[in-house]
Amino acid sequence: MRRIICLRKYLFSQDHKIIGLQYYLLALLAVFVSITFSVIMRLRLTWPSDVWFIMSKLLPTAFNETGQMTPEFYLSLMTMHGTIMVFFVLTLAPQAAFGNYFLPLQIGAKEMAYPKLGLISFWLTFLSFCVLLSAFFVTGGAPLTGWTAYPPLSSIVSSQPGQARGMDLWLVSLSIFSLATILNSINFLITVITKRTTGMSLMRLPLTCWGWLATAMVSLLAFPVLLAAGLLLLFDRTLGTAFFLPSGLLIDGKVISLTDGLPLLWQHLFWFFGHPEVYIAILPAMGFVSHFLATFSRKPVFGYRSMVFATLAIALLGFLVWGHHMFIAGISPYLSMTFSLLTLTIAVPSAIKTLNWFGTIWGGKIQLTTPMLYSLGFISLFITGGLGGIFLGQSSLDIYLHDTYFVVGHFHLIMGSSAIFAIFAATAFWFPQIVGRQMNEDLGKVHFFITFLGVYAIFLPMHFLGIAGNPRRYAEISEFLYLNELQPLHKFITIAMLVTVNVQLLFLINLITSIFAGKKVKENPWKATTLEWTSSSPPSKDNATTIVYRGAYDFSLPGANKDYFMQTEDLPNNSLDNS
Amino acid sequence: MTSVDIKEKSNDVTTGGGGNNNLDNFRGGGGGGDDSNDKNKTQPKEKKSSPMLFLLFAIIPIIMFFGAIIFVYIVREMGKAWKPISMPSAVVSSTLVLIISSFTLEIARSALKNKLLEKFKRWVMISTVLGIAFFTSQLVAWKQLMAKGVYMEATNPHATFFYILTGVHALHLLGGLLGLSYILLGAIYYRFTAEKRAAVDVATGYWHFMDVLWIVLFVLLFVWK
Repeated sequence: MRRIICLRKYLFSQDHKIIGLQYYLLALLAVFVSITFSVIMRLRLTWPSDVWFIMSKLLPTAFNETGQMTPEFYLSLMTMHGTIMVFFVLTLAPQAAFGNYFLPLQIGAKEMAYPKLGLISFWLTFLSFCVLLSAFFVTGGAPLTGWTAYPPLSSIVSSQPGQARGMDLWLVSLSIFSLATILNSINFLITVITKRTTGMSLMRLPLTCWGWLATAMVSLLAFPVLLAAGLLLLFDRTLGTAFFLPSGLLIDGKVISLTDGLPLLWQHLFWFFGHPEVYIAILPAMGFVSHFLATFSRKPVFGYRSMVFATLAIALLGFLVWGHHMFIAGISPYLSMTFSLLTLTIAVPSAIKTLNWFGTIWGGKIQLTTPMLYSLGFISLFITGGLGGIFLGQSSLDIYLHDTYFVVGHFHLIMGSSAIFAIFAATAFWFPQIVGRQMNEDLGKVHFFITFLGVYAIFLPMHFLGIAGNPRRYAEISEFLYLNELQPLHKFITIAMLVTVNVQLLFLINLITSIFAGKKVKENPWKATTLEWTSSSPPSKDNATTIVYRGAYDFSLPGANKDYFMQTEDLPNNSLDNS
Repeated sequence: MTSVDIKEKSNDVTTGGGGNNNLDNFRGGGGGGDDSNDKNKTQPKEKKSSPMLFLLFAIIPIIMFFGAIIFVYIVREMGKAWKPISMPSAVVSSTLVLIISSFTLEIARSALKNKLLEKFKRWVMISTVLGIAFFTSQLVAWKQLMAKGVYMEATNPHATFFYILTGVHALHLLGGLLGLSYILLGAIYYRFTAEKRAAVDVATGYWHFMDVLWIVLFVLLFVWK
């Protein structure tokens, strides 16, 4: 009997807070798996001829007779690293984990609009993660097309060992994931529309909520396209259709004719989803950072309205630029130019956001707590990564840089690292609300500084590798004379990476020990203004709901008798003393 | 069992006490003039989630999903291997059946609005039967094509699209049929009243959407060249 209660309460709970934590733990597990993959990849890339005794015993199929890891296994690891990071870390942690937990709390709702839907979408996501990992254990192993799965390589079963059952499982996994994300987005959108408490107008929403709202809109429009494309590809592989299979292809010694499919179609569909996916990862992160910067500068968010419109503009423009991933795929130069222009247009709302962040901290009483440091780190990484984007957005430059490490460095900075920094910030910021204790600030600061320098040490040199012409997705570069000189730089990146990865253990230790031994804090330790701090921490099952009287960022009002006003504080009584 | 009891009790004590205190504070500040007004001010209104909104947000991803496949269809139609298949005759009857089912469902809905529960039951039943007839008719269409030797294989993209579009549409319509069965059960046991008809509205709306979608697919597959 008690076991059933326990299952109901922690495993199959309909409480949005438990679901949020479940998503967070899944993302944590995924990031651990995925980083392990990247460590193995970097070791293979840097010391290709070294024999790895333990691993070759564990995974005999991944190694050839001389004891060297096969290039195919490297590609499998790369595919899975990308897939897990993009879907199970960057999509889950900022949106599904923190969104499920804090969206209802921040808008003053008792629960999500459809609690059962939240439960279903989490377990579908979990299922899809299991299906994805199971690809390693079928004949042939995991797919090796990269997370973009371009046909015809991905549509021909016999093309590579990993392209057999592994690829099918990959497609099934992503289809389940798309379905789960669509359901979750529906839940988010209806929650924001119908569940806001009295007085919580749209322009009083915290910017975090705007981030989640915009991301839910983008997910709702983008993921169905991935689902459709994935199903068509699956039909190509299993039912003998040929949507993406061109004619005249030589397969197993036979020339295929009469198929007349178009591999480029997959790229269009995939990137119509794939580019908005980038913003699915970064929009909630932008919301977090705006929120934390205001709180720790004790100033209102500079240009709240323009922040909201910039968020929506980025969400909209994200759908119009997918072609910039295809400049080298042979699309018409006129189309290239259009996509190039639209891509560079995204710099405008991005710049509005960045300038507003500076405006927020300008002249503020800045408190350098760990969430604040991570947020500042986010801005730095976002600007650096964004500058790389200006190069890649121009079709003429992209033709040279596209298949090089320049792209790897660029998207790891802007999408990977900066979103991860926002996740770090959100974890440290909301930890007291979830646990009632604070994470260790000293450990957090050490972790921040080493990770910050480490991330630059890893990804900035990759830009130089790219300019020098080092192609991406190669398991080994020692065979190419013109790349030999770059090997020391690769060694440097790998060492920086090993240090940075190990420093992440500090974060993990900090996270776990703080649950039991962190400094106990009173409610609202950061003196924040939003509604989640009005419920008890750790929150009880039922959220406190109160009326909202003011916007989300009433810090340091002129003439006020105190530094901040919660959204629940009535306006006329105690806001302005002298005016 | 006892430990659970104790837990519940202690919970009651803490939350009950806290709640009371809060209320006292709020009421004290407001002064005892207009009680009802005060209540409105301190207690946020509980809003109901709207089922029609759910329908809308369910339809948007479905449109995107079919839109993606239709996009592929239009591009592939320009290809060299495109050979239009002749329309299986059963498709016409399924189209007619589906359109009629939308109208019968609308009659049922207006009957419910006018509190004619018997009539509502009758017309929901008719609509459900028509829905099942649509599925049967589609099955016949597939059989007709297969009898002619037209399969899903790559040799003819138009046939491929016919099987996939009708298949995916049927899968979505299955959801609509589940909804219809649900309101049919409700109608048989007189569970619906004129006020409690959100489920009827949602199921009807979804059915109409599937109907329109089928007409779009029909035009795309056999009329539009």
